[in-house]
Amino acid sequence: MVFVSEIFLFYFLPLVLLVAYFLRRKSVILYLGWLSVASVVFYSWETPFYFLLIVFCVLSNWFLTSRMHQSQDATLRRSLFLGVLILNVGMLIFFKYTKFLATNFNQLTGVFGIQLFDPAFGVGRFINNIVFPLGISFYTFHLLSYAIDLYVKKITPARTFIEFVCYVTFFPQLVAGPIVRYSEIQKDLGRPETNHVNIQAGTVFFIIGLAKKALIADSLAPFVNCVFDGGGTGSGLLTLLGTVAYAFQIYFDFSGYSEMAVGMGLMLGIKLPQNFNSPYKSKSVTEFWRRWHMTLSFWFRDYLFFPLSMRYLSAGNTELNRYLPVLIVMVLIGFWHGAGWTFFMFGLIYGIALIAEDVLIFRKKKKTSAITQIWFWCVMLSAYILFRSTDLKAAGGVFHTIFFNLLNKSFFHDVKSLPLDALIGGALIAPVAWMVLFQKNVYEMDKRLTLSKAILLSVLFIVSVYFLLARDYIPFLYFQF
Amino acid sequence: MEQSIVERAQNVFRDIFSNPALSITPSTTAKDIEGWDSFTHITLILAMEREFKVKFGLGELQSLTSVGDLLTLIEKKNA
Repeated sequence: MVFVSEIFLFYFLPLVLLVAYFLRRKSVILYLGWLSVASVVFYSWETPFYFLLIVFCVLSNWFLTSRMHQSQDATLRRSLFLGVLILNVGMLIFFKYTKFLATNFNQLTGVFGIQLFDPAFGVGRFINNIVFPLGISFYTFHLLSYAIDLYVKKITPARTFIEFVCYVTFFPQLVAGPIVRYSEIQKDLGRPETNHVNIQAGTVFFIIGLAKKALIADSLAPFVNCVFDGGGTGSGLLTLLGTVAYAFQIYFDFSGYSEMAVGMGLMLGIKLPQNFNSPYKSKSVTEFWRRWHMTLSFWFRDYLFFPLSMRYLSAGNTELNRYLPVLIVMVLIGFWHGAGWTFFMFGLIYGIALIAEDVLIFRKKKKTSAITQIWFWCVMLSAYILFRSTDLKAAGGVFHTIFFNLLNKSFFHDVKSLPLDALIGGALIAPVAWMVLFQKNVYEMDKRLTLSKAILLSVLFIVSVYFLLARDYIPFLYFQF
Repeated sequence: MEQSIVERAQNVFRDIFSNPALSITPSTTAKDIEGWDSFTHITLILAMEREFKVKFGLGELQSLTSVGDLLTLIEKKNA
């Protein structure tokens, strides 16, 4: 089930909220139990296989982490911890990267005329048929953070099995984050505050998130698709505008999703962490990664960058030891988004840019400025070209068009041949740029409802739903990751 | 909190952030000191480990975002 569907907005969510508010007065366990059942139904609604998958994930992780926590024997504790890590990372690799690895292996052995994993039969066919389950990149990261935090004794274990199930499966954050750490919601799970302050704030978050997706991201999509798909355009300027539009589309799509999730969390008394903090106001790439998909970048920082850096720098305070962990982490962040070389390059570009900024700006104690802001936009747009392109060749074509045909005559011709919805998308770039660069984000707004705000939000909700239902369904972009 | 610990930590901070005038209190956080980012965080933690002859674990690294947290943990470890 997806947030932007009729069944979710008009049947599932109202029913979940009504029953939840009724049960909240009875007991917390019943409340969490109901949310867990609703979450599993939400996840496996269209694909029953997901039911088995999520049940397996929850049960195996609960069993292993509970045993690990209870164990007095350090060796057993460590073995169980390694078991949980292998289980979750293994699941992610199996579902997300096996096909990519097999294809690359085939290309490598193809040099000698051998194709080891023939997609037509045997193991190759099995690998070719692996289907990527929705949300697995997100919930395996929840589970990993739980296991690690429990192992290093940063958290105490979930008080009950139901609480653990609810932590992992809680439907607002299950399929596309925010990536939640248990410590962030442990208190709320023990005592969910479903008061009017939270419900009001949650409604504001939810409607603004919905509007970001329905009115802005989906309106930019036709323009972006015209520029990137089906042969694209020969105009460099139009391609550049398409890349800018994509930057806005992905931000409004993903931050819209995250804010709907945060909103529903608040309505249910569970405060999910902030995922975006006006990322395009950043004046450097470094600042951008503190503001963009924050729960992912902080996850990698805390669980991978810090330990790797500690290990490397303990061995010697050299430039290599300082910067190698950044490259490793950024490449892994790239690969986290997808199994492909475009994602590898996406991560590599960001890794190199972060190192360059540390060397040229931050270690020299220089201030960020309009110039560093332009540099940040160049890096970000280059990374988005890789992110959006199907393969490196296509990305190369886009770069070539932008650099060598920036001001050629095909611009006017190509604009004239754009369909109306794409033209509207293109025209939105300027007002959307003004919004992301100069306007407050939803976290900075006063979320107490007045009559005029309530009317405005109601209109926004109705218009957003109208647009969602009138248009063909455009999936949330981050579902593919 | 013992004054000598704060003073010793202050010297480490001045060295790491290359700022001889830097002064710290237990309430100083990462936001108050220019340049306290992920890179310097690790360098700082390693310098603190050397100065106070302690070892920080992974779970402790994440939450050390204020001078107070850092010094309290050092005191606890040295107790």
